[in-house]
Amino acid sequence: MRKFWGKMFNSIKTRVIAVFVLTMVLAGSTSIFILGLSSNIIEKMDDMFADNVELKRFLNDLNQVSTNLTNYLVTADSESLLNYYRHKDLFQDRAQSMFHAMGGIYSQNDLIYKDIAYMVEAFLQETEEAVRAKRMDNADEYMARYAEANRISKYIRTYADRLNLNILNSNTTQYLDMSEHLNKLRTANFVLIISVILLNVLVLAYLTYNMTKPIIALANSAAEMSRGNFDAEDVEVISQDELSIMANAFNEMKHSIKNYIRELHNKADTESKLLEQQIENLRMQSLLADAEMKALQMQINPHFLFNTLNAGLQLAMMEGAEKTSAFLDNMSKIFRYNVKSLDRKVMLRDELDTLKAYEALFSVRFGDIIQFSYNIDPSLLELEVPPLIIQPLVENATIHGLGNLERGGNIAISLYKEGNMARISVKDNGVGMNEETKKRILEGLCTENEMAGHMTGIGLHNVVQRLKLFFCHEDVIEVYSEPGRGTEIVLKIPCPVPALVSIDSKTQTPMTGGDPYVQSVSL
Amino acid sequence: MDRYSPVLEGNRMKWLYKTLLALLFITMVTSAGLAAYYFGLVNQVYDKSTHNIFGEQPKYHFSLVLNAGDDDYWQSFKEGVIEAGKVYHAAIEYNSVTDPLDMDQVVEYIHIANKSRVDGIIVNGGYSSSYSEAINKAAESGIHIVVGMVGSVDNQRLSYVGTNFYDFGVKAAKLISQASSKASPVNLAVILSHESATDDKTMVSQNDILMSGMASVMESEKKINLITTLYRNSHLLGAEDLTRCILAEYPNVDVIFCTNAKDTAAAARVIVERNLVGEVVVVGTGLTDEIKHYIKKGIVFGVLDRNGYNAGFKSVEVLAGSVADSFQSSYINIPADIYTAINIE
Repeated sequence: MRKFWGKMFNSIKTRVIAVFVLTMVLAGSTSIFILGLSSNIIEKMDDMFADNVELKRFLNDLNQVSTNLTNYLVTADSESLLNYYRHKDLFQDRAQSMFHAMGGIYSQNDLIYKDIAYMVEAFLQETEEAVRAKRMDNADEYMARYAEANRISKYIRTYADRLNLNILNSNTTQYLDMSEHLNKLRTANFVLIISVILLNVLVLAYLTYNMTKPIIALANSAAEMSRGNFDAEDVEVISQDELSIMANAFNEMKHSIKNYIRELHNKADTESKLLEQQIENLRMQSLLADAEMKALQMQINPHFLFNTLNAGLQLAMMEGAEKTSAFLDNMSKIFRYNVKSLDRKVMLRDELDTLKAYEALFSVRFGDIIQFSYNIDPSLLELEVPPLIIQPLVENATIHGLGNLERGGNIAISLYKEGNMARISVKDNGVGMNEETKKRILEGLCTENEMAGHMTGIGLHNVVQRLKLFFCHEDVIEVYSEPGRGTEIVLKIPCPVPALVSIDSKTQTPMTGGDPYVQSVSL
Repeated sequence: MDRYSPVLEGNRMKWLYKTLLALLFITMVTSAGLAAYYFGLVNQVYDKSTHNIFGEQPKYHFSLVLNAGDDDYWQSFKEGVIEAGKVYHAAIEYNSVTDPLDMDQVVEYIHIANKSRVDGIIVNGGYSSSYSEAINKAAESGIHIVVGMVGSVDNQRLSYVGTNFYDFGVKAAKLISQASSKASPVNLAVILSHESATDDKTMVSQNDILMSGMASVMESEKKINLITTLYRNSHLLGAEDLTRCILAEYPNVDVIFCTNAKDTAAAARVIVERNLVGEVVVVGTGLTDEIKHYIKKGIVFGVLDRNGYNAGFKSVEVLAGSVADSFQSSYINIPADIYTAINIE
């Protein structure tokens, strides 16, 4: 049944027509109903007073007959006689139509009607006799007949008046009896009309609401879309009509646009990330290039330098100059380590070995003015790190921390684990630095020249940036320093050290193609 | 705390809408039903006017020309006529005579009944030549007539139905003789009802017959001493005034006799008013609730009831029989009943 109605009214046009017909039928049938009642009652009211009207006409006719009879009897005028006959016929016809319509004797009034009917008959009989006697010039006869006719006419009038009064009284009583019911009938009709109007309004309001609700929802959704909000809820239309089709189409369109925009966003994000990656790569390349530039500056004819150093080493051995031989050996190690490519990874052990060589060279050069001390956790020696991260710190300590001090100083190198971080600390008891300098160091605002060491030519900024890139970790350095109370720089390395991200694969830098220094070192 | 939910709100609105729709529909159907119901009641009122008040379709048309006035006898007479009309299928056309002394009106109604060709006339006219003439003329026209008052009953189409006033007088005198506890003879004052206007001194009135009946008993038994007879023939001078006159003029009066119910009650009221209860007693005519009350109190010793209802009923019966050509007696006596403190309810 529900399906049937669903199919019947699955179009807006059908529904509108159906509701229109329903409301019209309701209003129309109510009007017809009330009109029927009113017409019937009006008919009854007319009928109630019809007898009075008819009686009035009847009495007029009676007067006409009496008048014309009198005229004829007085004047013997043929015109009066004709008038008499004419009115007599009319009067007779009216009396017959009035009294023969009676179906029987039902009330006192019916009895009076019957009396009047017989009296009319007697009256007309007397008038006819009077006319006949007048024609025969029988004065006594027509006078007597005329008197009798007048007497009967008076009786008729008396009874007609009585009938009129009775009918009026009866009508008044009837009307009073009816009026109470009529008032209630009027109230019922009023309630009926109001309820039908309200019912129609309700039905039309519901139809309008049902039709406009999806349209308003569509309009709101369209407005949201125009503001760029594609996440608004779908417009739901339960009916199976054109609005439902329109809403579904709209929802699909919204989803399509939303998907398309999402794809565009994804593409833009990807491109943005790619661009950022490229920028990072470029920065990395820049740093590497910078570091390598420094290294290159120091790799002036390394072949010649190594051969020369080896020749010096052999000469020192042959001459039995063991200290010179050791000096040259350490120097050779440092040079060999420093000229290696910066994109390789080394172990902390290698860093520390090179630092030892550096210390040996340093002690030959400056004696024991600067004391080195080590506190190394051996378990961390195998950690992989980028090369040349500790030596620049030590060089900074010797140059900037202790370099200007007559008394010399101490440099303490520590390697220990704290939490899941390995910490490499280079601490001196030199001049220290103020907050501004410390801040500049931490924010990387110091120039490479300011921070560059003698041997490596690599500044602290370079070390920090390489560590960040190597470990993909931002927090890699801590600086503790006060003016006159020394400086401690701590490098923080995640432990265990994550696998080195292949720069080659990500950046496709030209380093993957082989480094001539490495080639030269391998020689 | 209620949380707003569009779905719940939607359901509530739907429920509200359906409830409203149902309520309006019920109101509409109910009001239409009520409208139809009240229309039916209007129709009923309208149709009631066409109901036959005579019961079945009447076979006869009788004209009742009556001066009922304020006399209980004639009121009961009229009721009897109307009831009998229903029994004998007769339509009763009631023509009320407003002035009891206006014989012309009675005569006119008899003429009208004659011209209207009624089947019968019941009339309580008085004594006048025009009345007799009209009665006879109607009888000559073939109309059967019943008179409620004694008159010239010399036409075969005339019947008298009512009290035999001679017998009534005899009964009244006997009742009066028992009324007073004083030693015989009791002093009696009589208040008679109005006399109808008459121009024929040869006619014998009902009051004359009544008084002759009483006189016969008074003469034979010698227990009653008639001290005065008054006629209440004026509306201005009622029975109350006449009673006061009697009491004033005849302080030795023992019994006052009245010939209708209204006069009886009036006389009793005056006796109470004059504080003469036990001194003067009333013997009356007609039995009303007020008179019953006075009988119980001993102010009215007893009454004679002329049985107006029976007389009216019998009048129609006689007319119906007469129209049907069966023989009807020309004089039908409706005997009066006597009521005293012993036999009233």
